[in-house]
Amino acid sequence: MPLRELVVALFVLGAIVLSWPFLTIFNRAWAVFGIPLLAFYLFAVWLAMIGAAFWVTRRLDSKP
Amino acid sequence: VSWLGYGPLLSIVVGYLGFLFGVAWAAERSRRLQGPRLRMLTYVLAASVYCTAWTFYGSVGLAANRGLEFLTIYLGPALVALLWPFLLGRLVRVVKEQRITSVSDFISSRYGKSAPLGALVAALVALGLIPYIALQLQAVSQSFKLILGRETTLAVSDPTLLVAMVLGVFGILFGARNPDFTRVQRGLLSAVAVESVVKLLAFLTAGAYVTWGLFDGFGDIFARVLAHPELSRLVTLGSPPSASFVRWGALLFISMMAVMFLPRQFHVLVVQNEAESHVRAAAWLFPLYLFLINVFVLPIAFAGLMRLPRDQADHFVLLLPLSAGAPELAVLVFLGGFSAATAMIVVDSLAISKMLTNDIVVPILLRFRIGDIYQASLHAMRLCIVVVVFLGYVWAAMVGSQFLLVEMGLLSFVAVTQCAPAILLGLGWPRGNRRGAFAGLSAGFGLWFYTLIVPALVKEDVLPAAILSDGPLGLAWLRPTALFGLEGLDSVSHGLFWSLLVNLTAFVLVSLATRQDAEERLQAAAFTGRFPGEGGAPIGRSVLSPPELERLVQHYVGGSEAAVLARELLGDEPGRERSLPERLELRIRLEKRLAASLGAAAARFIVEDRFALSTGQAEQLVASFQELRHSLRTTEKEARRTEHRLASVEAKIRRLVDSNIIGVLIWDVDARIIEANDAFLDMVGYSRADLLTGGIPWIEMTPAEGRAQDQRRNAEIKATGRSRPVEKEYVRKDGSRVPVLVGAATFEGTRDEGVAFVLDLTERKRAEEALRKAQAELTHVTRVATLGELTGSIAHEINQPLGAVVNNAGACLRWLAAENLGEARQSALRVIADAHRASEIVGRIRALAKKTPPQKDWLDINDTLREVIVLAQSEVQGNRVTLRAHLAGALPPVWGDRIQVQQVVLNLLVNAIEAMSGVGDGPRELSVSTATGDSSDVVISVRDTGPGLEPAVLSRVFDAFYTTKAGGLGMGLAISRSIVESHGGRLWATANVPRGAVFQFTLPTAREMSEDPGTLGGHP
Repeated sequence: MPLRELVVALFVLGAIVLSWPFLTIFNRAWAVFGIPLLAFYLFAVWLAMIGAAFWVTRRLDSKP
Repeated sequence: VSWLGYGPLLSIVVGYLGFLFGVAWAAERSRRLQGPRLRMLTYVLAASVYCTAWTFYGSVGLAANRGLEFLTIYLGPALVALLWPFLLGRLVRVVKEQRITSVSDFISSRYGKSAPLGALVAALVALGLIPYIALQLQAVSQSFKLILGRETTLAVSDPTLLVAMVLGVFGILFGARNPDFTRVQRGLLSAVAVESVVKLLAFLTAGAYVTWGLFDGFGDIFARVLAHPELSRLVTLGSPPSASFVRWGALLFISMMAVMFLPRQFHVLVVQNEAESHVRAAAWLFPLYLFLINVFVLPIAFAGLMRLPRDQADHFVLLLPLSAGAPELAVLVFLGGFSAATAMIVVDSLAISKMLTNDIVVPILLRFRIGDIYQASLHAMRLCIVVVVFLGYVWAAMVGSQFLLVEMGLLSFVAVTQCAPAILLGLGWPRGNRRGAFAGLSAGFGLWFYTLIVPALVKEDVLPAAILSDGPLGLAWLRPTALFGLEGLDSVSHGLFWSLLVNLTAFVLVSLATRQDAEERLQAAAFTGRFPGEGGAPIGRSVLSPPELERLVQHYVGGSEAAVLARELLGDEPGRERSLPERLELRIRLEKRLAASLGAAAARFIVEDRFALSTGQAEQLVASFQELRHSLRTTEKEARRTEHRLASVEAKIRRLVDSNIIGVLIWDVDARIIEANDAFLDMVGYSRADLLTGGIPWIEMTPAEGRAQDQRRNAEIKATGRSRPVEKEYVRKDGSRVPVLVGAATFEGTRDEGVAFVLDLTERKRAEEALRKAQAELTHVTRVATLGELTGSIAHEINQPLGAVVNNAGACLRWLAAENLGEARQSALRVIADAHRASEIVGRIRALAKKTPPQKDWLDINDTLREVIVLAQSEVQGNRVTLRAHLAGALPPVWGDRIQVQQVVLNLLVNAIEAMSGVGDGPRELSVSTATGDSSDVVISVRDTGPGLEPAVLSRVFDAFYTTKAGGLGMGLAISRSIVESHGGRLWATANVPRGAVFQFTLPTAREMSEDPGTLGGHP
């Protein structure tokens, strides 16, 4: 898949998982590894986005 | 807890600022600090100027009050950063290409380099951002207050003012030293990057201290929070969920826009970008920075909530170490917050100053025709920085409310978001135009002010509260926080919804409804890569020659800068002549180069204004244009007229050719017939196919004996282009011949082709033949009639020898009887001679009476006359006329027909005798004479002494059917004259002296030129 479309797809996916109604899934006063579920989820998504951006950057940098 | 005095704190602050100056100074000079990795890191860390005091202090405050909501401000950027390799890369390319210096410059440039649009954006963004700067100064002031442990107010004695002033100087020194904003401000960026490191380290240290120093790690803190009935609500999104989620989404969106289009973000991320690879690095490093700086926000917030009063939430970061007895850490935190605030103030004030300078101040200066605009703009920008920082300080001193620390940040985000449609659609939608952008931005900012700023002003007691509760003038549906009755939303979502909706709608609708001018189309194409709508590319209007460029640069830039700029643009050979495309290129490069310093609108104004046409020139141009159009129209009209005329001429010629009255053919020198009409084809009996295929060269249609003539006429045509019409014959397809009259001419401009006109002479020849026959008949009849008149004379003439024969025969008999043989023999010889004489006479009469075709020969005119005179002899004697012949000797022979000449003479003799027969007394003398004429002819005269001719008769005597004799036909003299004329002579009558008439005629002694046509050849 061309990288540009992939990036747009990732962006849309990120926007979905960071918005209502998807967030309601994690909107509970639970704890994961001692951390509140929603906070944990958001930071996890955040790290995933950083990872995705890193991967995209590597792909782009390796291309001329 | 006042362990730190005012003096030491001040020295720390001043020392830190000095350190930053040093960093900036070193970064600009040291090559070691300019390695590629370091530059990339500098770029990413400088972009982290996004995290201001609002982040540093405010995030914790926000988290303490509203839970996880603060994360949206960083999740949004992290999300949009995924798109940066493409979106921001694209933005960077356009900005570099167009030498754009700010957000307002971008919008102005995109929409036709519109100065009013740029001014609008600059003014509104400044309006939205100056409170944000005030916020930073307030945060600095607050941190001073807290760390000093005493109440201070923002006053002259407050170090905040000093800080503000120092920041202004820093901005001037490292940002506003050069008006060209496309140059990398390495010192400034490095200092900002260092500050980003300091604020991150400070926050992480504080977070670690709180988490592991004051508590037993994340688990400990969160466990307490989850166990706490009130605090546990903060780890989920609150109720009512809908409002909360809407606000969540709204904040996510505005932070996405803000991270790119806030003046400081645009300046660092886009304008100051050095390489696209930096954008890609920032796409993951920048979200990572945001991640790190947010990791400890929740623990600090919860720790603060558990240990400190809630209303101090905005300063938990500083207060926790202070209250826990870690003042050194507190100083570090203070420096972190100080870094966050100062970095923001420096970069934002610089970016806003640039916008204000380029889009408001410079256009005004240009209107006033300030010459050295380059230096003037630099001074203006420095002044603007001071003014912006000072305005921020004044705002902070006057408002001083805690409410704004959080809300004001969001309000400026929403303000900046108003620029997003114009920028993003400007990159992707060619049809978006200036009017649309103007309408969208005006409407968007208007609603931003009404729905967000008005409520803020109410809270600050600037406006009456009734506006919020009852609406302006009591119009409830116009309440700023529930516009058109839209309730249930928080104020930011509500304001964002209305402002962005109206902004987008106005932008799109107005863009669709209005047209773009040439400059807009050009810029739309440059920004989107596509030309809007139909039609070709607009054409650049002005071009620059090197001397013009030097003059222009000298006038507007001035000084040593001008020389540098001119050299940069003109290269090594400034004096070289440039072609038109090169000069256009020169203009474009100059405009961009100026745009880098003065902004797109001003640069365009300078380049266009300098070479705008004067009124006189414009009139001249219009006049010459009209002239051109007029002459074009005239030419067109003339062409149409000529075409018309040609068509009618062609029609006429076509008619002439196709009417087939005469034969027309087009020939060439290779003897081909290129075209022939039906008349010609009928004449020669060939079909068109026979001729036009070139199978029958016209030369072969001429009979062999005419070929020589053809050659002569070819030569004539070659020499003169035409040949006289001549009669000739063509050989028809069936072998018969057709007499024709042919005229030929070559076409104008060529000797190889021509036209020939061929007239069929068959009918004429036939008519001529018939006439000739009739004339011959008539001649013969007349001759016989004349002979008839001489019958008596002729009988007498024949009788004489016959009588002599009888006499001599009788004498012969008598001599025989006398047996005188000698005498008898003599008598017999005389009988033979007389018989011969009689026979001769009869022979001549027979010849005259006989119908013979004319036959010309060389004649002895005297012999010819004598033979006739003999015939008339007895008639003469019978009428008692004396006839004398005076025949001149040694006359040259004449060319003629013997019988016809004798007919003429005989006719004249008979007429003379008849005329004299009626004369009663006086001599009757008839004389016939011959003589040489004037030049080459012989004159024959017949004189009588009759009654002569009346003048009236004289003029008619040669007419046909005119006669003075009772029984005459009236044809004699008419025939005689036509005979003489056909011999090339003349016949005329005059009066004789003393009486009577003289008839004379001439006969040529040389062969006449009028020859029979049968021997003539010719051209086709």
